[in-house]
Amino acid sequence: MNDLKKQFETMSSFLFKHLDEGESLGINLSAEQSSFIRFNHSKIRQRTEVEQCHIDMDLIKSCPETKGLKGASLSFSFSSSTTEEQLHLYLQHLQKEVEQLPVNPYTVAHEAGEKSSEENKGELPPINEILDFFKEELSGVDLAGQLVSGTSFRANTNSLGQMHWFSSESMYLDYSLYSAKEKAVKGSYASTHYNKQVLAQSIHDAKEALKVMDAPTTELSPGKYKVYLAPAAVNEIADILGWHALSGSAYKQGDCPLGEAFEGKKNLSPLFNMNEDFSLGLSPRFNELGELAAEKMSLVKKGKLENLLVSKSCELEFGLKSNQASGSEAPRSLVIETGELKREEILEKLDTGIYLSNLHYLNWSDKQKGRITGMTRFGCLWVENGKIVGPIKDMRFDETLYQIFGDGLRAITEFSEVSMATGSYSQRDIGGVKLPGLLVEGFTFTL
Amino acid sequence: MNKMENHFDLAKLVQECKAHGITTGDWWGVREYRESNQFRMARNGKNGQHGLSNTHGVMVEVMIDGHVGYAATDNLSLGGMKWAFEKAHNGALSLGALSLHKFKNWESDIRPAHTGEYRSPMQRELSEFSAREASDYLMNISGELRKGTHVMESMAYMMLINTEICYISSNGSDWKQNFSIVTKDFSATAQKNGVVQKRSLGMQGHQVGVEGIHDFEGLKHCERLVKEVNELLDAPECPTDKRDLLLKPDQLYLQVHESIGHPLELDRILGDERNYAGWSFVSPEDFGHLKYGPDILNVTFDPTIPNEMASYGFDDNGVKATKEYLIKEGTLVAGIGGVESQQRSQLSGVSCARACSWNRPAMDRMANINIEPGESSLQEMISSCEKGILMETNRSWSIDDYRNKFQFGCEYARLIEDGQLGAVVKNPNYRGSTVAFWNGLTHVGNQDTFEVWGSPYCGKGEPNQVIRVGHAIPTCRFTDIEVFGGA
Repeated sequence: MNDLKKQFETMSSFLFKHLDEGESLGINLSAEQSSFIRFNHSKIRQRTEVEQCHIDMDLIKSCPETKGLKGASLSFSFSSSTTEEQLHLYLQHLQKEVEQLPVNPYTVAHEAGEKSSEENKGELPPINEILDFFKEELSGVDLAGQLVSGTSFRANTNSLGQMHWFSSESMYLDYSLYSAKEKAVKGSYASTHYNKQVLAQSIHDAKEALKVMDAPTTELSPGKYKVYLAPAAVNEIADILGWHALSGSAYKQGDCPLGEAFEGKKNLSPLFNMNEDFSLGLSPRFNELGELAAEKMSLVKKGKLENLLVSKSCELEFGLKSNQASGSEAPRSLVIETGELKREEILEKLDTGIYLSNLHYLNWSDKQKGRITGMTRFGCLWVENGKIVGPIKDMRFDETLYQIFGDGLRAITEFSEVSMATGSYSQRDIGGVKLPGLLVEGFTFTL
Repeated sequence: MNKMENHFDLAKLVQECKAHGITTGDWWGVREYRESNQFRMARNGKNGQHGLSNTHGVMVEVMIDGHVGYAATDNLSLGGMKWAFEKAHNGALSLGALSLHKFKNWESDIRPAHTGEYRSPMQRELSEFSAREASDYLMNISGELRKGTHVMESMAYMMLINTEICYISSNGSDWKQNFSIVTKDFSATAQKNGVVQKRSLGMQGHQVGVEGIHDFEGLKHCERLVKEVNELLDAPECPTDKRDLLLKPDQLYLQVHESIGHPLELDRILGDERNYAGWSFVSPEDFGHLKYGPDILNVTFDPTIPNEMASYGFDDNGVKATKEYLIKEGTLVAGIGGVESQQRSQLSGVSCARACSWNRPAMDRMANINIEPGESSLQEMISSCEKGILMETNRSWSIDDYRNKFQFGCEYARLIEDGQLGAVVKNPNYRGSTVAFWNGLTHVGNQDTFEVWGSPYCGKGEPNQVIRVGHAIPTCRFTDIEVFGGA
């Protein structure tokens, strides 16, 4: 991966030189050099090193006869061994493809955009050094999870002169610990600068939390309960917001779970403020078109849904004004603002109810009404009169976003937690969220 | 695109690696994976997005003293292979005291040597289906759907996938597989008086060539989808009560996937997935004993069904694929686990170690997990219900990490009263617990109700992998199930 930026520039220049009249080309790069080490029972199940680079070309051609645009994309694996002959063949194949296609009225033209560069260098030791530390730290502990370390790259350029580069060196340990009674708690450590003491503290805290899980399990009946959603549980709900809940295109196609909030027919709680905030520094501000989003944009202010995420393509088709969202119109750097609930007051304010450390496998159960279903998971506790009783047997919930972020919302913590993206389908995700905990009344459990 | 790149020869590159002393370890294997995927879409009768994606790389495995290291690269030069062999070698060496399991009988049991070839059944290569043909086909379908009364949005898409896997190992494996896969879905979303409903084909995936696209006759499905989405606009909510439930294959395949397939994966039972996809309610002691369902329930791992999405000749550990029973006459008999999990657990498994691409190691995956057809006709199943409901086409799914408590939503349902199909209801959902649900199975549909389905999106693993699975399923009837409607 040495000189990847230079290789990207050289490759792009070569491809731009071979464009025909009326054509423009956008190019996106996503690459990584990563170590993935998978653990079960505190031992290594699989250790995989990956170096990969993916190039996605987006060719647009103007059609003078129809005064319209048409286009298509083509992606391929790229390395220092990719020859100019191969690059030319890829471009020719894409040109032939576009030639055959009819005009697409919603093709977004490339623009001569801006230039940016952000290189986040970390301080990460050789991964074997971290493994040596594990040999001591994980003695007598049942840990499952994954240690990931390396550098991720994203870049965008186009034939009109736009150029963006982003790289980030980081590591994380995403894990869970298990007791002899098969009870579990979740833990995580993520950083750009490895700190052995902080990692040890994370594991120590998880071990302490696990002790609570050995208390007798409470089996609750379905019904409505007061709950505290810890930041990791809120993260699961935040994740499903990316499935059309904030999408301008979904709204216009009748498929937006928060559509009634956008129309002002329903409001969320006045306590609730949510932003797309790139000052987190975990994901690039540029999207796949190379457009730079505002550093911070309000989505919900005092319970009013002010903005949906709108891409350029949505603007073209539906007339909503673009706010430089990505094509998927999912949040890329979501932040829910903190409130006033102090950490030490959480149990007292919860009084009698359920402390939800994590949730699992969320999906829409009535998308039109913003209703989601999912399960409790990892370290969820029954609390009586402000005291932890013990773990609960896993339960299924079925509740609307309007109840969770609206009518039922009683308080938001004064602290929030940054969570780095840990997804790795095809490659390591980048980005993250910053979320507080929420105290919610009338949260419905069904099974 | 493959024709552009067919100058690449894995065997030649491996020979060069040997000649330069790059190959290393007590054993090594190299899996080349090359895939081209055409994504094509039209909306509302107009041309939509078209994307061609290609990926090509190798996964190098090096085994030293029973421990294996993995390294993957898309740099297909001698330099790239040198990097991968060194990384895999060092990875294997680093495991030592931290290794979960030291594999025994590696060359006979864990990476047995095989040669041969598998090709999807097909007559015409997918590369022969031109961009113009594809866009015309999809514009016609989405245009036809858009003509429907109250239809506000229509969509038709397909993915045409060609995958080639070549595998060479130091103990003599040399096999190739070539898959030709088409997945597709069409949908119509309609709106009336503030009610929005969607009806779709359901995501379909099969191993076919271009002939499979033509044989499907996409246009003939449009009339039914438009009729049904309009029925839903005026339909009452699904009732909230307990009743008998008939599930068509386009919903039941996901029920099988989530509540039989995943809990039977041996790596889940062994705990590998505890931090991500989850554990399993099934324990090693359950094999040979657990009554998963009544005697009429027979579930197989069957990689031999022509056109089913995950039919293949070898898994990615190089083990030959054969049909095996997982649940026989209602009793759990084998797990979904490849040779590594079989050795670790000492349980019976199947040839199901699969990787989603060149950049991920193989692990236990579903392939084709099927319910064998039974004796009942659809009419017999309907007639047997005093109070029931027939649900079709999945739209929502969720299940806990042990695979017990599930909830599914469907697009379309009809009530059954006194043995007769009755009113259409909207927003149909049902929920239950796995073993109780399957033991409530009363009828398994016959061959006439049997359909081959598949999904390109089964997610699992750390690092994450999404893989294609097949499910061939008859319509089935379950008793006393909790059903409910929308908010």
